[in-house]
Amino acid sequence: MKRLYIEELKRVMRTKSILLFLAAALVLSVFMAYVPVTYERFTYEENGREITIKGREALAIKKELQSPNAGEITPEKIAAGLKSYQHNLEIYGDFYGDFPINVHNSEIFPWSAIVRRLQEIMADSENGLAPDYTEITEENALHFYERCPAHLDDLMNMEQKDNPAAREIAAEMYSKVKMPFYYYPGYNSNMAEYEGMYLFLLMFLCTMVTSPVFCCEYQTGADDILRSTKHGRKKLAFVKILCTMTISLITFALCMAIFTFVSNSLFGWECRRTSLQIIYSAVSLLNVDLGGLQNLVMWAGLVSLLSSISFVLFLSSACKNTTLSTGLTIAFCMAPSALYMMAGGDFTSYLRVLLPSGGLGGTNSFFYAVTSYFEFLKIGPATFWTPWLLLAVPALEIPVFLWLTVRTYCRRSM
Amino acid sequence: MEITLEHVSKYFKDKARKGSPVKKAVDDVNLHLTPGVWGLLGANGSGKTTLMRMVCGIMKPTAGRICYDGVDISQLGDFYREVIGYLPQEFGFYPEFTVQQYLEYIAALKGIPDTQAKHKIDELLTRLSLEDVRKKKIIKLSGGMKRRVGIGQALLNDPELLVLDEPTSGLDPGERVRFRNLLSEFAQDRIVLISTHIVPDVEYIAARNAIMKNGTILQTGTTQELVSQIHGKVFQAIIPSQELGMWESEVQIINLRNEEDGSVCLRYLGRPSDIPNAAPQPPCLEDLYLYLFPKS
Repeated sequence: MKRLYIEELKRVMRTKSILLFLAAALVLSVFMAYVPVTYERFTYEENGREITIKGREALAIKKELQSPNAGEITPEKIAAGLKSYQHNLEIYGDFYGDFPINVHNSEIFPWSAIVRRLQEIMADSENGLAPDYTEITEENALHFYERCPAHLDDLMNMEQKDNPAAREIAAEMYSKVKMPFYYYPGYNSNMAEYEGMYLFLLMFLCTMVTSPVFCCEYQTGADDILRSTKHGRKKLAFVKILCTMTISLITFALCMAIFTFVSNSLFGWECRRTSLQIIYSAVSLLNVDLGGLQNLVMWAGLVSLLSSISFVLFLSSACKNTTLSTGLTIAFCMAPSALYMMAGGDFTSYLRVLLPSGGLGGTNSFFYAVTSYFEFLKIGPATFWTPWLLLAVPALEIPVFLWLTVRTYCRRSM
Repeated sequence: MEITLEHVSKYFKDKARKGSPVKKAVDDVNLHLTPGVWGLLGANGSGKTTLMRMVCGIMKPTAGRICYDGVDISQLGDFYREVIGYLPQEFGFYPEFTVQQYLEYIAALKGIPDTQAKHKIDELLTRLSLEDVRKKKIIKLSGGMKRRVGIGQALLNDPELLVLDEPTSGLDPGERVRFRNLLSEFAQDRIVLISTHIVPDVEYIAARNAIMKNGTILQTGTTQELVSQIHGKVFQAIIPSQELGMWESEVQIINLRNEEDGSVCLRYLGRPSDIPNAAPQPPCLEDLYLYLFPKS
C-alpha cells in the first residue's frame, strides 16, 4: 500500500496541469493577502490642499493615530471618545460637508472604532434605529457593557420573534463573550473578506486538480489495465483518494500559512487580539478575537475544502470523461454563491448547508454567517446556529462521499 | 490450469434499438481454455472485446459464470487478478510517464516486490527492444513501440492467463515476428488468449482457435480442424484483367495480384466450375475467416 501510495503520488506530481494549478494557488496566496493593503487610504489637508496617501504608508499613519486607544476598552475610554465626538459636533455641526479633515483625523478617527459600537448598542429597542451621537449620554457610555446583552435581546426579539430556541441559543452564546473588549488598530475588514475569497479560489483550484482523478482513466482506456491488476480496485481507489487528500492538505497548509503570514505581517500581528465585537458588531455571538476568527474561518475552509474534494472525487468516479466531470465541478463550486445571490430564502439556506462548498464563496460564506447576521436554521424541532451547521454538515459528508467514490469506482463497468 | 466459460452472456441496454432495448454482446458462450495460445477471431462487433473483458474480471457476465480451475472468478478477487495480464485494444497510459516509470507503476499495482520488479522490467525492456527508450515519455514513442510497452505491462507479473486484444496492430512485420516468437515461448504451461484482425499472426502461433459471430462462438478447434471445412472451396485462377469486373460479382475474391503480362491472378472462394481452368488451393485460416465473415 505504501509503495503504491508513493508511486501514485509521484505520478500525480509529474502531471504538468496539477503543478500549474498548485503554483497558481501559491502565487495567489501572496497576491490575495497583499491586495487589501492597497485599499488603505488616508487623507489630510496641507496648505489648503487635500493630500491622499495610499497603501502601507496610509495604514501606518492610521495605526499611529489610533494607537493611544489600543488595548482594553474601558467604559471610561468609551466615555472619553463620546465626549470628543460630541465636542466637535457642537463646534462643526455634523461630520459631513465642511468638517475639517485634519480635525477629523486627530479628534474623531482615533475614537471611531469604539464610539461606533456605543452608537450601535444604543439603538431603539422597537425599531432598531441608532440614535445620533448627541443623544447618547456619558452615563450610557459608562454602562456600555451592561447594555450589550440587553441590545442583543432587543435584536433577537425583532429578528427571531417566532423562534424562542434561537433567542435562547443567542443569549447562551453571548453570555460566554469575554468583556471588556480589546482593540488593536490596523485591522481592515477587506483582510477577512479576502481570506474568504482566497479560500474559495483554493477550493476551486483543488477541485480542478481533483476532477480528472478517476474519469481521466475511463476516458483514455488506462482504467482497463489498472482494473485487471491485483491492487487495481479498492486499494487503488483508496490510494487515489489518499493522494488527492495529501496534495490538497499540503497545498492548503502551505498556502494558508503564506496567506496568514503575509496578511498579518502587513496589518500587524497585534490586530489578532482585537475582540470580534469591536470590529463587526458589539453583539456578535462568538467569543473570539480576530485571530480566533481568522483561525475559525480557516478551519471552516478546510472542512469545506475536504468535503468539496470528496464530492468531486465521487463525481469523477461517476463521470465518463473529464469534460463532463470538470463542467459539473465548476457548476458545483459556483452553485452556492450563485443561488445565494439570486434566490435567498430558507430553501437556499438549507441548500447552502447541505452543499459541501456552501460555506465558501461570497455572501454565503462561513465568514459572513459568523459576522453579519444572526443566522439560525430549524431542522425538525431543533434550532441550530447556521455557522455550526456549516462546519458540521460538510464534515459529516466527507466519509459519505468517499464511501460513494470507492463504491462507484469499484462497481464501474461491471 | 484451465478457464471455463459456462453459458456466459452479456447484455447491454441499447436505447437506440426500437422494440428490443437489450443488445446481446455475448450470448450463451461455452468455452474451455487450456494452456497454449488461443486465437479469438471475429468481425468488428462480434463480442470479442466484451468476452475478453469478462475473462479478465473487468466486466461481470449478465448470466453464466467464468471459472478458474473450477472456482468462479468473482469469488477469487485479488488472487485471480494476480495471475492475469491484460492488454486492451486501446492502450491507455499516463502521458507524464516514461516507459520505465510506467512499468514501475504497473508493477506496484500488480503487487510485485520492488527488486523483483526492477529485474523483470530490465528483462522485458531487453526482450521487447525498448532498452533505448526506457527514459523516453510514452507519448513520444511510435505506435509500434507504445504497443510493445503495452505488451510489456501485461507480461510483468508472468501471468498464467494472458489476454491480448489486438496486440499486433501497429507493429511492423519484423516486430510481429518477434512478438509471435515471444508469445510462443511464453505460452508454455500458460493460457494466452489473443484476438486479432491479422489472421496470419494467430495462424502461426495459435494451438486452438475460437471463432465468434454475433456474440456466439461459432466454432472452436485447431487451425487444421477449422480450415478442413472449406477444403475444396478455395481456388486460384488466372484471368484477363478486363474480366475482373465480371468475376467480382460471381465469386468471393480473397486475394488478387496483377501479373506482368496484363492478366490477373485470383484466389477465391467458390466452386471449381466458377472460373474455367481454376486450380484448387490448400485453405488457410484467412480463407475461413472470409468464408465465415464475407462482409469483412
